Amino acid sequence: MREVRPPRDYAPTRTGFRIRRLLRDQAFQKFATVWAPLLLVLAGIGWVASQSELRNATMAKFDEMKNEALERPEFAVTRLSIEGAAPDVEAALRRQLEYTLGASSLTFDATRARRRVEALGWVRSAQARLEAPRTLNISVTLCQPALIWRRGEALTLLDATGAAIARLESRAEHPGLPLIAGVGANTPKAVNEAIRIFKDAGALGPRLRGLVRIGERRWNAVLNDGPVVMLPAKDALDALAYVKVLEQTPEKPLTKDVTAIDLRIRGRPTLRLGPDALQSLHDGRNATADGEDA
Amino acid sequence: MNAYISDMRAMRLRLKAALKRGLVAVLDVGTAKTVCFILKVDPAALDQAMGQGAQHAAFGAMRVVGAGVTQSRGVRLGEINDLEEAQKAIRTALERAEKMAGARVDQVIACLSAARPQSFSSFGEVEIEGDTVSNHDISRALSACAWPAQQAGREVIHSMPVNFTLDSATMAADPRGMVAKYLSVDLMTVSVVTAPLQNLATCVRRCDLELAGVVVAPYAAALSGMIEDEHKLGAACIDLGAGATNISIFLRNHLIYADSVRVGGDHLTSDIATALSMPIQSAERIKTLHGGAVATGLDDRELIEAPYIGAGGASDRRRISRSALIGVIRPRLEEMFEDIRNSLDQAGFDNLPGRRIVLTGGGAQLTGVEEVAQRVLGRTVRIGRPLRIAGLPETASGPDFSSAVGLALYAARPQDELWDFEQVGGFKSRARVANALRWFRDNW
Repeated sequence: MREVRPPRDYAPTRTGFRIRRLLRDQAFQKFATVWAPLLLVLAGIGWVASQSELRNATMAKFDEMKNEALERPEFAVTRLSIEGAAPDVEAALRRQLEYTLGASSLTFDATRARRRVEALGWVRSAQARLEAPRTLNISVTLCQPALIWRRGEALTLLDATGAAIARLESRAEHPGLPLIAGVGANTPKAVNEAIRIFKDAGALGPRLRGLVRIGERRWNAVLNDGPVVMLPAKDALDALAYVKVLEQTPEKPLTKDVTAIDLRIRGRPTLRLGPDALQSLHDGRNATADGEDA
Repeated sequence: MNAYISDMRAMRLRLKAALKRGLVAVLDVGTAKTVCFILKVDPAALDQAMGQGAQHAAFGAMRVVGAGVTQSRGVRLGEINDLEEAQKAIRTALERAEKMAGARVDQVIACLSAARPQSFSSFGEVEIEGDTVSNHDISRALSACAWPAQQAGREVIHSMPVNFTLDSATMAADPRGMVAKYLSVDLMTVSVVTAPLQNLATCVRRCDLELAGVVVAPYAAALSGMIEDEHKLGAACIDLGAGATNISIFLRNHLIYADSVRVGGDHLTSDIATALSMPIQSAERIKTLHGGAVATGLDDRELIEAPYIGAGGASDRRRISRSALIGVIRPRLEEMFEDIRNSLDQAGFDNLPGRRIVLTGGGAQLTGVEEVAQRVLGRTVRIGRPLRIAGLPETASGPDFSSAVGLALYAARPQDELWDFEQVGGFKSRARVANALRWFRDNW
């Protein structure tokens, strides 16, 4: 015979009733959906952090994953576009920025790239920025070469502030630029003065071979055919103007056999004569003396 | 008695807190069905409505968001006689209501469907201490009222000041701030048998609920079954339940009499079952489907399927005429109304200005019941359907739900029971110390 079971009671059991009411409780719902998961996650993090091996492993794994993500080819910088640079400078820039190609654009440090570009003598200022999707754009402002500075055999290109731009193999690379020499000739003050002297040279210009810095304080202007104009440390331009006026007099002392014209002390120009002139001066003096004597 | 009143105060505080939170449940454990409604209350609107004394606006501030109805278990003649079974029914109803509401409620107003309520009127008068009536004067007047003689096994469940008289001029409204020399108060007290009350409280507590109020069924049914004008003018409400019939009389918006007769619709069913030797379930079925109170000529020809007890095959079928069924129902119904008439006579209903009678409860759905009631009671009788509250399901808006709906109205009604007034006692602090000492003695 089939077993007869009493019909199931439709009334909720006490436990079920309590559980369901608990689930309906708003405070409990809030706890279960917000606080409990939060606590659980925090506890998990705390536990992992408290186990040093686990923590290290986790950190290592995390770093690995991070690097993997960063080094994906999709993020690499692949193109370098350079604006405002001459072809030879551009090549130098490319050499300088070679390290960025293939590196991740996510970790790219634009400041560092800019510093590296600006470290080049030719570059006065530069901007570096990443352009979507994978191009590094560098725009540079180049220095204007103003002078050539000679130290022994070495030639250096200087800009108007005296900053070194590049080394030169020969003057022929920049035939139009004036030459300076001497220790301390590249200070901004000296360079500035030298540029003004070259500009003001006027008629003297074609004869001016260059300036030599003496004692890191004043200039000697060396003329093509020998004489040296020793300019004072102060008011060098006035002294130069004096020389120019002097050259317009019929005597034209600088075309004579003069090794130097000393203008270092204002109001007391001094000529240093060449050996021939000195001889003739002696001769002249002797003749006069003789005549007087006679 | 003081401890008891503080219990009542605690319940009232719980109710206030629940209303402030906005969610309260009402629970009517009846003989036939257990009903649970979950009310969502708008506390701001309720406060405003209560401040204006606009009762209907107060009903507008709440909404039924959950309703659960289930067959009662473990209840006989309106009293719980099996705690476990009754709890199951309560759990079922509550679970359904909560599921529908999607929220959990902890505070519940329960209805005590029948615990032989008795009402008792008393009167207290005091001389006013200042010029105008203060809260304190009201409290003194209330404590001057005689308390019903302490009967063994009975407990006061309602105690309402129904009328204030200032210098022998009656005024039912709030007397605070009025100028007078003497203040007297009429106090209406309803007491019930302790055991059913305790059983109900136990059931509710075991269902993890807190009682936020207990209302006797006659009061609850009258609150929703009668309209406001009937409350005001005076009328009687007869709640024909399954296990008990509750009678209440209202006058000037206050309950002035409550009684319960321990016969109800279940007796009709058992009469049918006995007289026609039918299974009880079938008797209940033909009572609700075909039952009536007044026979007509047509009923002789209308035949109803009425199986015998233990009937097996189709050969055992029997058909009875509807008039035979009515013939069983009618005498018992008349008997019930005679009991009710006795109770009403006892209350002096004849002398009241308003003499309307409202029939409500499940029994009021019986066809022709108002005709019988009118004949026996000699009054105009109407069927009272409960007031519609927002969100009440259509299935729960018939007369059989009037006491459950009444509980909801009770929650929104301005509260004016004895324990809402401050307690007068000369030695308050001493009483507190004594309480503390007693607590220590009891617990250590």
